[in-house]
Amino acid sequence: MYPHERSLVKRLQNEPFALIGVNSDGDLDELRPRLEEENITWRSFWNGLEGTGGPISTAWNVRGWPTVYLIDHEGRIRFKNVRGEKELDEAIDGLLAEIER
Amino acid sequence: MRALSWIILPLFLTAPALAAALALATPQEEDARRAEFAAIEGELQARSDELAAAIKTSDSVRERGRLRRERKALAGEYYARFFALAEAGNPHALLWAIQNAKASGREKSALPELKLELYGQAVERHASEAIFLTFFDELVGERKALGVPSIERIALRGFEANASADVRARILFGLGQLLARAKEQAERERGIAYFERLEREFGDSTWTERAAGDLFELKRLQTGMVAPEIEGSDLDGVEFKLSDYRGKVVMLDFWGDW
Repeated sequence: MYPHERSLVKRLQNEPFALIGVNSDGDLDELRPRLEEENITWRSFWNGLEGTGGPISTAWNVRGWPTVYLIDHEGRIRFKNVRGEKELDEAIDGLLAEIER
Repeated sequence: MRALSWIILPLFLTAPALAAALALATPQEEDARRAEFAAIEGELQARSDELAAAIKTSDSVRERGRLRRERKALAGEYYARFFALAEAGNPHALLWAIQNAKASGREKSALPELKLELYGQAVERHASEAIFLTFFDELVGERKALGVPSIERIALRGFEANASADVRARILFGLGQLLARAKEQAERERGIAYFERLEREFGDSTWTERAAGDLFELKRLQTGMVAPEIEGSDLDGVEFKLSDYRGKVVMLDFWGDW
């Protein structure tokens, strides 16, 4: 996941696109060095001390990890759990194209 | 003391009457049913183990092949006995007959029909018992074989016939779950309806609690819907909201480093 996410963030850095995480590691002290190692520069909500049992993922009924939602520029959910990196890229590009139109 | 026994006595009297009215098996009857089933199943298991041992020790390829075929055919050989026991009212044998429908010797294409017949029997004879949930759990796994409408029909007959709030709540929960992730919009809407009925009629049940997440997903997290707000803090403790990113395409990624 990380390599693809890094390449997405880099490729779309000048586009109206944001990768927003909901991080579910209960221990932030353990996570911090990993952010540097993996060059995770994108912003994340923190799901709290309970990790995968935290409030945001519980509210969103997340049962599998990772779970990815694509939200368009008007704030609407457009895709859930797109399978495949190529398919995900295409879905994001399609949503970006809607803004330009 | 006298006043107290006046209260208790009628309760003792009505309990068996209630059980009879609901055709509930008493604990003694249930023990007997279990024993009857275990006798046949034990015999089948013993013969299966015997053949397995013989396969291991045989040094003839042909003999091993014959023994394997014999072992595979065992369930079929016993099917009629389980079937008869089921017909006589034994729910454990009935469940076995459903789970081993393939061993009935019927054509593959006729198996759904057989299963429907057996589930029909489960409803007719055992819908008012707690054991109906065991059939229900099996039933909701038969989406491919039986189709959603049949599953709903059988389950709802059980729902109507069962007096236990927990069993009834569990059936609504299971049906809601079965339909929550369906591809068709109409089925998902029925899923919502089951969950909402669960909430309405069994508000304090643990099943209602467990359905809350699915219900929220069905009502608020479908494609085309405006994403619910998220308010929280980032990993540096800075507060922000999902809607801060309105105007951009957002990939919302629930992740963890593990």
